[in-house]
This record gives sequence, structure tokens and C-alpha cells, in this order.
Amino acid sequence: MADDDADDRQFFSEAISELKMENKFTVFKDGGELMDYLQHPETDLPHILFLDLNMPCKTGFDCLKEIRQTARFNDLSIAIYSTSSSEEDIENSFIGGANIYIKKPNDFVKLKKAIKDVVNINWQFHSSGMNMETFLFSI
Amino acid sequence: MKNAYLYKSSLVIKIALGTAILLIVYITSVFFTQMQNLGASVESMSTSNERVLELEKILTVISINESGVRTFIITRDSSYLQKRFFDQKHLKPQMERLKALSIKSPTENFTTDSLKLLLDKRFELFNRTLEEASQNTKLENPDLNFILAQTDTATDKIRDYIHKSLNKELSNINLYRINHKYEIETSIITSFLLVTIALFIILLSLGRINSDIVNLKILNDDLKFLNYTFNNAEKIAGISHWNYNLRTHEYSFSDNFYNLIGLDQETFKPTLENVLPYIHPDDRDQVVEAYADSLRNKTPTSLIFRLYRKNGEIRYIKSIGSFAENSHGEMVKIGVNYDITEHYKNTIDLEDNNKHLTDINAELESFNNIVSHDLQEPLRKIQMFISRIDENEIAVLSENGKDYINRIALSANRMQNLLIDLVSYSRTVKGDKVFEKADLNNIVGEVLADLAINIQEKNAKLKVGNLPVINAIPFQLHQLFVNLITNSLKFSRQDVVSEISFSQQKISTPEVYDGINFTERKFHKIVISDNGIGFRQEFADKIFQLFKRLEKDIDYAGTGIGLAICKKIVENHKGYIFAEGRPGKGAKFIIFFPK
Repeated sequence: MADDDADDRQFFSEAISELKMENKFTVFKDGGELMDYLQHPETDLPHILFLDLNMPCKTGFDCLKEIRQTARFNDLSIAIYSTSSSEEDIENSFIGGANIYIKKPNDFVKLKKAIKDVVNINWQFHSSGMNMETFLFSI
Repeated sequence: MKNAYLYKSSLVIKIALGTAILLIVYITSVFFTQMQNLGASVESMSTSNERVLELEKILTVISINESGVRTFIITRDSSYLQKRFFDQKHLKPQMERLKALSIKSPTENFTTDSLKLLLDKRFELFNRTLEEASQNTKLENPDLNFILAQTDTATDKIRDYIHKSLNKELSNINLYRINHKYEIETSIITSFLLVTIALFIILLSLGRINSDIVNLKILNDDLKFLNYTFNNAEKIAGISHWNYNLRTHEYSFSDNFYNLIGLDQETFKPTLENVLPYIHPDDRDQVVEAYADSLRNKTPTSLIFRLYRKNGEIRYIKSIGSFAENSHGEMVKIGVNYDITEHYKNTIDLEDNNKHLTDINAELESFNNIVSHDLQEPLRKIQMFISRIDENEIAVLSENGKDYINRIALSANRMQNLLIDLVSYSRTVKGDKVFEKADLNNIVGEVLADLAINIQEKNAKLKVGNLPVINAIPFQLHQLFVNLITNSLKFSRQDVVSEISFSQQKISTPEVYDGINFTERKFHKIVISDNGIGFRQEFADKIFQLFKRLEKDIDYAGTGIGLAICKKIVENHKGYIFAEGRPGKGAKFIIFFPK
């Protein structure tokens, strides 16, 4: 997951560890760090990327665009994880090729539930019937 | 209209004068013929008189000769024969005169030839008588007597002939005199008629011309006044006009044209060249070019330029020109100059204001972003941390600590609600206002579905009547009804089943709210009423104000924005919303949407 906000990274990490998930989890502080990691040839590509939109230097949209332009990342599912609830951001993420949009919750229980649900989504099934309404994850 | 009358009048006068001239020419020609006739009759009379005179002379000569011969015969005194003309040549002047007269005006039963024959005979007899009397001096002479008898007959014949002729001439003269008299009378009548008619027509025309002149004077005065009014109007409106004759190459400027620049009308020669120095140097080329272009292609012009007044003041002028033909059929370019300085300055001010407003709007937008995103961000984290404490640490806290955490959570939630409502309020104010036909039944249906959980929680009963279709911004109406129902649910009474009703009501008689007259023809009236705690009527206006809350009770916690949003939305739809309340009985919201 990539987020410039230390608190959010901490909430996210704590949620993952409290969920006792077996998955490998890596955290990045900004878009540049994330892209460097992904583009490294020896990197094992993750299944899901949680991407914040408002980040310094390389924004979430920049990363989204770069990833979707690279064939190697075709199987990578991207979940936008942002405070913004503006329709413009949601629409642009959808058009940019993100798979789901999670609005950062204000309750830790809700966060855990969101992560659990999103990780367990059958992405192939979700993507086939995707539209603007199912795109926005409802907590 | 008066002009048309005058044009017609001048035509009438022309026709009248033409007729008068024709009439005078005709009557003059008639008069001329009459005069000629008169002359002819005078001539005839004098001819006849002369003829009579000559014939009388001839008769006298014959008589004198005869008496001379007879006296000689009796007396044998040859002195009686002296001064007698026995030669016919003595009558020659008379005969020639008669001949000339008969050529000039031949008469019936008379010819000089037949008279000459008679005279020849008579003179021969004279000579024979004298001859016989000289040869035979005897008193008794039968031959002489025989000749004398013959002479008597001859003289009688001549006398008869001449008398007949004379009678004829006299009767002619008489006839001529009657004719003459008649002709004189008719020519007097004709000339009198001629003068009278001519005078009459001339007087008539003069009268007409006079009245036309009076009308012209009135028209002229009107025109002067109009001109005066026009000049004043130009001054007041800041308009001036000019024209340029393409044939004579002459310019003419209106009074205000001179005034606008501050020129002296007497000394300034109106030409483009002379005006150019008063046009702002930066605009001069543009004006000259546009003007030349327009003259070349006969196209209308419309341009704005700056003009220096004589006192150095700059005025903004809008000049519009077009072409027309004047009364001589000459092409004239006519232009009107408006002084748009004030207008121009106002426009610039307005543009400044607009820019300022745009800036303010942009600031508001960024403020909106701050509220919706940047302020919510730390709040969200506060809530997140509270939920972390709530989950893991609550057990280790004292009762006081637990209470504090709860209160922090409540305040944080309340702040979040405030922020959300503020954002939606500012969206309503700014809003993308796209109007479309919206069925209120559908919108209310959606709202009820959205609020189903809240309605169930309160166990409220909702009655929805048939609602109209109006021209609206659907998402705003959605918000409006959400807020109104939420409001009613929030302020329900604990002890009774909450009832909320939605209906359209007919405006049977015009209703007055706030001094505004509402009629069925112009408005839809929609009423939302509940049986909640209500409010005192004096607060009816207050409840729509931003952040105004009537209830301090924590049970009825609200942000004080909801109804303000409602009012804003209704106003966005050019409608009106009013509230009626009875404490402890319920509240009623009345909305008028324009049809």
C-alpha cells in the first residue's frame, strides 16, 4: 500500500496484523517509492495495491496511469484508498483503470472490514460486472 | 401628412394656372377673330360708302352736262358749254376707283363694264346733240328733237342703273352696320368675360398660394421646433450625427457633433481631415481605414474610438454609419456617433467586479475544498483514534475517562456532520443549475427509500399525495425533501406516533404570504406537515437562517444548516418556502413552486 500519511499507514498496518492475514504486505511512503519497487525486475508483483490519491511528487493518479500503461501489471488489482469523496476523483479513478474505490473510514472496525472484504473479492468476477455504482466500495 | 397636402396643393395650383392660361389663350384667339371680323366690316362699310360717293359724282357730271347742253340749245350761248366735260376721260378717276373697289369687293348687279357701256353711249349722244345743235340753229329741228329724246332715255338708263346700284350699296351699308354693332357688342362681352375669368382664376390661385404659404410657415415653425427638440435630444442622449455627400464631397455635422468635441461651429470646416486631430492617435488609422473601406464598398460601418475634446478630456465614441439617397438621388453616408464613455467605464468597472467575483468564487471554492477535505482529514483521524481507544483501551480507563472519551466521540461526530452539511449548503449556493422536468412523485419515492431505515427507527407514518411535475434541479429537490423529512423525524414527539404528510394543495382563492400573492395560475403549492413538537410562530422566519437552532436539547441535536439549505434550494427554483408551527402540535412547511 502507498500512502504519504504516517497515521494512515499505521492504521492500515495494524488492521492487517489484527486481521491475522497470511498475505505479504509492503508499505510505501509515496508514489515514487512505489513505482521504483514495482518496476524492479526481481520484484514479485502483488495481487492488490491500495493507492492513496493525494501524495506529494507522484500522485496516486500518476501511478495509476503508469501502471495501466505497462502490460506487465495487467493482473494487478488497484484499490484507491482516499479521503476524497468528490465525484470527480471517483470518476477519474474509474476511467484511469482502478478496480475499486474505498473512502477512508473514520472507524477502525470499518477499516478492518473494508480490507478484509476487498482482499477476499473475486477480482475476475468483480471486474466483469463493474460499473460506477459497484466501483465505490460501500462500508 | 401636411407635406403631402402641400405637394398636392402645388399640383392643384399648377393645374389651375395652366387652365387659366389655356382659357386666356382660347378667349384671346376668339377675341382676335372677332376683332378681325370687326375690321372687315368697317372696311366693307367704307368701300360701300366710297362706291356710293363715286357713283353720285358720275351722276352729277351727267346732270351738269345735260343741263349745259339744253341751255346751249335754247340760248345758243356757248359759254354754257364751258367747264362741261364732254369727254369721257374726265370721268376716268371715278371709273378707275370704282373698278378698284369692285375688284376689292365685288357686288351683285353692278359691273364697271356695263356702266362704261352706258356712259359711252351717253357721251356719244352728247357729242351728236352738240354737233346737230351747232349745224342747225333753228329752234324747231326734228332731228335734234329725236336725238334729245334718245339722250333722255340714255340718261334715265344710267340713272336707273346707278340708283339701283346705290340702293344695293345702301342696304349693304345698313347690313354692315347691324353686323358691326353686333360684333362690337360680342367683343365687349368676350373681353369682359376674358378679364373676369382670368381675374377669378388668378385670385383663386393667389388665395390657394396664400393658404399654402401660411401652412408652409406653420410647417417651417414645426420643423424648427423639431430641430430644436432634436438638437436637445442629441445633447441629452450624448448622440451626434454627420453626413457626407458622395457626389459633392461635402460634410455636414449636427450641432452636438461640434459640442461633443468643443468646436466652434462658425469657424470649423466640417471635413474628416479636420476631425482627425481630435481622434486618439492609436485609433486614427483604424478610423481612416474603416471609413475609406466603407466608402469604397458601400458597406455600413460600426467602430469604437477615443476622441479628444478640446479641453483634453477623452471620450469613448461608438460610430455607426450607413448609406442612403437624399432627395436629389445623391448617395449620402449618414453616421451617428454615441458617446459611450459612461457606458464604457461602467463596463470596465463591471468587468473588474466580475473578475473580483470570480476571484472570490475561486477562493470560496478552495475554502470549500478546505472544509470538505483538509478539515475532515484530521477529524477523521481523531475519530479513528477514538475508535482505537474504544476497542482496545476502554477497559483500562476510569469511569471519568470513559465518559470523556464518549463526549469527545460525540463532539467529533457533531463536527463531522457540521462539515458535511456546510459542504452541501455551499454546493446548493454554487450549484450546477441544470433544470429539467422532474416528477416530484418519483423524487419523493427515492427519498423515502433512502430514508427507510430512519423512518423505521422512528416508527413514523408517511402519507404521500399526488405531486406535480415541475421544472427543477432534481438532485437539489432530492436534498430538499431529505432535509424536510429528516427535520420532521428529528422533531417528532416521544409520546405519539409520528405522522408526516406530503401533498399538493389547490390554491382555490389567492393566498398571501409575506405580502406576496399566490394564485393557482402561477404556482404549485406543496405542503409537508407533521405532528411533532412544532415551534412558536414568531420563530417561523428564524428556522431558515444558517446555524439558527430553536432547540438546545441534546435530543434534538442538529447543525442548524438543514432548513437553510431547504430555503436556498427553493429560492434556486424561484419558489418560496414558509413555515407554520404550533408548539406541541406540529409544524407545517408550505412550498410554492412557480408553474
